[in-house]
Amino acid sequence: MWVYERKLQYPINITRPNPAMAKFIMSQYGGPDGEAAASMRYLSQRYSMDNRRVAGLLTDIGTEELAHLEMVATIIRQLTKGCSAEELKESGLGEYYIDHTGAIWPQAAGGVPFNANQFQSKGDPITDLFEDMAAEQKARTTYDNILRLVKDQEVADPIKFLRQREITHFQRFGEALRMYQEQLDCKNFYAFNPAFDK
Amino acid sequence: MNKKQMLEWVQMLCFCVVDMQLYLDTHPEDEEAFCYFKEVVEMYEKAKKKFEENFGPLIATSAAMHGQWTWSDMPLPWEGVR
Repeated sequence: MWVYERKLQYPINITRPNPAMAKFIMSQYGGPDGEAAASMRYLSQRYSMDNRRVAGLLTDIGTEELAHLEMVATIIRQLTKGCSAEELKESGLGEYYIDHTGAIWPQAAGGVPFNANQFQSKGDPITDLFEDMAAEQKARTTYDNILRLVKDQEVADPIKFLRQREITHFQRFGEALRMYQEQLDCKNFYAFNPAFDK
Repeated sequence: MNKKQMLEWVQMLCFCVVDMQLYLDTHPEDEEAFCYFKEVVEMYEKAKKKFEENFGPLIATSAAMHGQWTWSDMPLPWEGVR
């Protein structure tokens, strides 16, 4: 189960609104490679993971992703808070404002709503761990893309933190894959699916 | 330290704990890492308690240390400075 700590994992204090930037950063909230997808992916995969240590890692990283989801929402909120309808419209957030006013709603920058098609929970530990490693790289690339456009240090700072965490998670999942493979027949990793076959 | 500095110190130590937790998840036999984990957990709990005594609970159960229910009035983390 989860306990909530009423603090951000990393401080965010944005003093200058910038709704145009918020529109792009939204992809890390509800986009295909964003934090909602990451947390749902790992927290869903863990149930069928037949290696307790790997299931534990999926739980721990999935939990951290929820904290990142909160950080991204905070960045978006602080970039748009206090903006008028006109300002939101001019920044490219007109359509979003019509349906959500100043609220946070999970969608990609281009408008595609968050959905389960953005992640897989395949039930094969090797497959799932490769999915997870790819997910961390996709997230890192998205943060790279965001950083090319961000000019404000107050925004770049937490984004750089989040980007670094993706690289660390990638490392951990690689280690988990190696850890998992130790319990497999080294001559044939794909002999059967230990998470399903008897 | 003022409130902002105290909170950042708690955030830094909490992050150390989480980072070590993930590392130990994939390196469960690393004794040096576990030793460091124990050190940062101790520092973190100490810093957290000091913050909570001065400024209020960071988790709901810590509200029990005060004379009245303070949880509901603690700021939400996204409120920021503006």
